Amino acid sequence: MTRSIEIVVVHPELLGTYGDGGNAEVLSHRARLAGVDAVVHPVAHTEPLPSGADVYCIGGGEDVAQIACVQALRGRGADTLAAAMARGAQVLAICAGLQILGDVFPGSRGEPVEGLSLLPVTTHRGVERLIGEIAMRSPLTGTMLTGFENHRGITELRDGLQPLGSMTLGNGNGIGAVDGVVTDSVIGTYMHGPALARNPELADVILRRLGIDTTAVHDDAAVAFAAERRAVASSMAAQQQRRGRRGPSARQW
Amino acid sequence: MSLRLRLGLVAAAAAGTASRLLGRGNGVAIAGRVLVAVAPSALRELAAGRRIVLVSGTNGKTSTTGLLASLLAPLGPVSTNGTGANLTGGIAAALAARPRAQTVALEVDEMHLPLMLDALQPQAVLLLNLSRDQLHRTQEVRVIANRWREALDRHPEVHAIIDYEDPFLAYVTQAHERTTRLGFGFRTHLDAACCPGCSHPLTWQPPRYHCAQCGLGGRSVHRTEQAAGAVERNAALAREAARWMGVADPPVDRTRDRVASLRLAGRDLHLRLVKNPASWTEALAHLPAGPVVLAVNARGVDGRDTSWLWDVDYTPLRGHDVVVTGERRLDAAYRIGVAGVPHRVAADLEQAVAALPSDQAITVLMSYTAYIAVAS
Ligand SMILES: [Zn+2]
Repeated sequence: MTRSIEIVVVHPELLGTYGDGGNAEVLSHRARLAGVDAVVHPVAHTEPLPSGADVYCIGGGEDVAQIACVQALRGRGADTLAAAMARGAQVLAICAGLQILGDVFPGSRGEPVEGLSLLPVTTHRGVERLIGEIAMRSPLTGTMLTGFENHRGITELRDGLQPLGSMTLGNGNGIGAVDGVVTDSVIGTYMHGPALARNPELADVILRRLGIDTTAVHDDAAVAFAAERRAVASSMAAQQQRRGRRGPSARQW
Repeated sequence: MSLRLRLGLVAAAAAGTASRLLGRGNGVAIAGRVLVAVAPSALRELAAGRRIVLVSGTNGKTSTTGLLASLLAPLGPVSTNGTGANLTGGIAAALAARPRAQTVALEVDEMHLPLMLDALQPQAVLLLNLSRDQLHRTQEVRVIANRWREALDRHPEVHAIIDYEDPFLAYVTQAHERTTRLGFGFRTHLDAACCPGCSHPLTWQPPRYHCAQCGLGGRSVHRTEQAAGAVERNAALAREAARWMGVADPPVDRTRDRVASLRLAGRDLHLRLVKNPASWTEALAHLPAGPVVLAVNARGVDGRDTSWLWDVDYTPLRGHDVVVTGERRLDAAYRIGVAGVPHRVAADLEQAVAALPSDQAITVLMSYTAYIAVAS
């Protein structure tokens, strides 16, 4: 292996409640299968964010941890991320991680907290917590992506920002029947925790954007796992349709 | 004893017998529910004049309460809810079953602890740990911690015995004067990135966690015990509670943590319930030699989401013969594959067992619903 990529996990001690560390593991696992070495570098909120990494993974967490994270990133950390996005590094932002990249997100009592303003995105608090399996069709991968959502954020995309996918099950952003956000350098989603584990093709999009050829990557366990979750999500969506029920997103927001 | 309580006891006994005859378990919880319905003050009356220790926490309640009850035996007959019936019904039934036992050790569900502190007026409360249990309910750890703290505020007379290395328990007893704080030399906590009291990020540096903002974690402990894992920690806490109740020198005893044995297709299986990241990490860190089956479900009380699989370190599995089964076996198989653990996948427990060499006992680590399906 000649090439090596650096994957930074941003503040895992704060934003890592739901197995978010899995995303860096899946990325490096698939990079190695593609013949590229990977170094995973967890960076605590007390340390400066390294400026030269290829991927920055920002995970989900409780609102108190989310606020501590954004406070630590304000200023230099945000500048580092902005520069990384400008040079084509990739940011994977999960749940709370997606919210802090925007202009504003809700604090513990729903009060607005200023985000890092790296994306034209605003989040406010919804009526109830959205918990359960979700699925979406994603133009980015050309496949159905599946995950588990557990949040109370309603996230609006502005300025023609593109979502990651259109919901076939569950709520995602909670508005417009879409989930997440995609730019040239950011993939954000409400599929919480190890979202890349269930969606290896999404991991491969990130690797390809770094110039890694993933055509030779074969991992039967990943394929079987992703296929099973897609099948479960499809049958759950069909069941909901038969009952004439639309997702809570359609009813409430 | 009031007439109402006597009536309640008769009705409860009848309901318990009926439930047993109908084959619906051992009838304990039903009997207790009937008792409380007929005599609402039953708990208070049954508790009056007795010396009571309540045991609560996310993991290890049942086995620790069992151990504590046996450690208290030198004081005389002990009343306890040995079956893990830890809600109002089970507790009432346990108190009614041995009304003359002066010493009482009761396992109490986390959400019921404030209610039981009010109703039973115990002498002491033994708090083992607090972490996320049902896995999509992390927020509730903070909710429970706050309720416990409020309940202790109402009962300054109750003596608390805690594992001080759990920041949630340190927070619960932060203002509670009558507290015995045990230390075990340092451990980390998956759900305590931020201070349970003031939300400031905690500093985790051996031998202590610390909150720079409100000072949580800064007290010195009353005693530091050697403990290799949760089982030993809970045993040390139980001994401390027994000592506090007046047992001169409670013996050191290794207790079993929801372990059951089963023979299946001529093989010896040691079943171990593992229900959250803390207990998985614990079980894997103390794995006996021999083959291992992981049975992973994600329904009901297991939590419907398997993300937590990525919060557990699987390196202790290396070198073991490993088979993965359960309804979410593909989640688990992919996860331990990425962790570099060679394994096979089997459709069910029978096939998992058949896939393993026949000359060794098999350790089976199981999600709650998988465990209940075979162990009860
Ligand atoms: Zn604090």
